[in-house]
Amino acid sequence: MYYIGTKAECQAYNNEVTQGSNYDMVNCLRWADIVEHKDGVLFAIKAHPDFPSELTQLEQFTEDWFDAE
Amino acid sequence: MNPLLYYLLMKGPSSGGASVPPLLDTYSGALVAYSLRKLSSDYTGNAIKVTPDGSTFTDIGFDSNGELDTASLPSDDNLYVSTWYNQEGTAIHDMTQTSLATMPIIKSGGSVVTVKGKPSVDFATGRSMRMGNTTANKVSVVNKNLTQLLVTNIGDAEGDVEYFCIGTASSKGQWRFSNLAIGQVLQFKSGGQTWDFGYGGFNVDLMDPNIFIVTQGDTGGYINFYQNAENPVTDLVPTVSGTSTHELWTLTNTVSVHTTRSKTSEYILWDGDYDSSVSDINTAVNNYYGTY
Repeated sequence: MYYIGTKAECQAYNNEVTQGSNYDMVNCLRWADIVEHKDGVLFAIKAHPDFPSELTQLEQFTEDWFDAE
Repeated sequence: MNPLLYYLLMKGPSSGGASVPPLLDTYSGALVAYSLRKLSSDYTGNAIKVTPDGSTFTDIGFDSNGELDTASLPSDDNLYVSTWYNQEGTAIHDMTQTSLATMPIIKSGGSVVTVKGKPSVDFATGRSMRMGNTTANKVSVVNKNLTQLLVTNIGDAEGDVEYFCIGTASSKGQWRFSNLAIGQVLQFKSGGQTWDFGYGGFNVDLMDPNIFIVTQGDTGGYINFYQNAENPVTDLVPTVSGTSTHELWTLTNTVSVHTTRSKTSEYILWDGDYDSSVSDINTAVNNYYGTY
């Protein structure tokens, strides 16, 4: 499952998980990579089971998220 | 007891490990080499670095048979691979991943990921590795005499698309396996050229574990494609022509909406055309993995 929001909201969620997870910051720098919608407005980040958020949930990506190959 | 029988009993079964020369001892000239078995007698490093949580990391090497030392894996139920070491030895070409949710899987639910009994790295959807976070680390090859070996088990659900061995631009290097309504196809790119397998009726069987080998000569843009030493497609003419360097930067990737389920055990890129040795390479690799 993913959370979707603005880039800032997804980055804030990533920071929340990263700071709460005691990563070593050498081999592991962050929780997840942020995925950008093709429209450049919407962003998504993988949900961490221990860090619930009020951001909108997305079960899986649909084709409209990406440019056609 | 017969001395020979005693020797054989004490020696135990041949695992393709210590009793067989590592592959790169026989076939030298690798630019990069990733595997969960030891590929070179000269290599003294580890196979992979693993973590359960992004906090603690453990390097995992090889056992006395040259196989992944699974006994040294931490006891956690789930382990992720943060580094897949390049056994050619150039550290900037190690495959890495610094986002925990994107690291591929080596242990899941308490069990080591395997394909036909051999450890394998699970690149489930959204998981990928590349040579650091800078494209400057890429391998770039002007020479078009190349051989690529890929040992992998790809998902077979319709719609699955799996990407391997990608350059900083897909035109410079990419294997793209697709399970489409028309069948299973492979699009191969290198140095600005594109070749397509499968659209003419040749069926790249993605369903089973496979040993894929592609050899390239430097004249005419032809390549030869081998799958488990069967169904060779030789002297295939490119569908797109172009000139650029061949590149490798990303080992596997999930692009767009597609689901991926690949488990990869080995990838080697040689700076040389080993086409005349393909049968021997296939046999040597298959003797270890039991792929087909």
